[in-house]
Amino acid sequence: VNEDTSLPQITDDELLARFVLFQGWIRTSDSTVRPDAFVPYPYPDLSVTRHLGLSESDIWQIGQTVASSRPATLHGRADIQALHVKRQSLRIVPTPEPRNHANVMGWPKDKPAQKIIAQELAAVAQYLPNPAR
Amino acid sequence: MTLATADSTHLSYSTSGASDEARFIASQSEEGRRRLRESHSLGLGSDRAFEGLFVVARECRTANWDGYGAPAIEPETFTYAWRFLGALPLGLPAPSVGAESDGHVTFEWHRTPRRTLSVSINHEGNLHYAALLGPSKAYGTEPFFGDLPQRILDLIRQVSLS
Repeated sequence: VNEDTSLPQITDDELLARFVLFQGWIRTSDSTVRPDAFVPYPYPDLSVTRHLGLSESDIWQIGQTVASSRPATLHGRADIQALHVKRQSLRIVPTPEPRNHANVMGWPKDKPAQKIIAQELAAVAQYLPNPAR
Repeated sequence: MTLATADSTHLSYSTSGASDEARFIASQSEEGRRRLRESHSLGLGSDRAFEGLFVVARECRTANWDGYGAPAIEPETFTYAWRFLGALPLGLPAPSVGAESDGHVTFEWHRTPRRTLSVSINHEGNLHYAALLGPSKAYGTEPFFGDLPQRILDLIRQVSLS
């Protein structure tokens, strides 16, 4: 994979957002995110948005743009610190487009190994419902 | 088993080749299980799980249901998921139902972030499971032949009942 070194590299304390466009990824019991949201597809990438330099409204605007292009409903987002992703031996690779986009890469091929990593990520992620809903 | 429609709340079963006695026993057994599932004391929400499966099937019947390019959930996957729920022993808590972007249906037993079990089933009837159990973890794959594998039953009990 050719990584664009002109993009700001990702620091451990940086936050990444995974937009939730499917209601079934949210636990109704406690409004947390299920690991289903972190299973990479299309393999081998998991698409996330970096918070870097963005205001709250900027982040939601990006999510809404993603949702509107499908079209789908933006239910919320799951925020996770980059450090937690790196601890799972995954890499976060920024991409030039769209704005602040990055791919989480380095996932194992077999599904159970993907699932256990997705559970570790979900366990430390913070779910935020879309304030516009 | 034949699935009537993905939106239907009823499924029709084919028992071609079975004797009248076998059909009678099967129908009585299923009726008994249905009544027990409906009981608040023993059902532990399994009807809600079946309803949840129908909701997921409806919402995931067209591609890109997740906004990231997910394929639609295949009818075979739905059928296996239905059979999985039907095979849950009475007395166990029912899971919540979801889906993963690769088109697998998921069943989750969740108590806390580190006491949680997820089982996904695909169109071939493979059960992929992953559990966080405090500081330890367990994950792997089991085939589904109509009965729940002992390993998964043990994990459900570990997460839900202990």
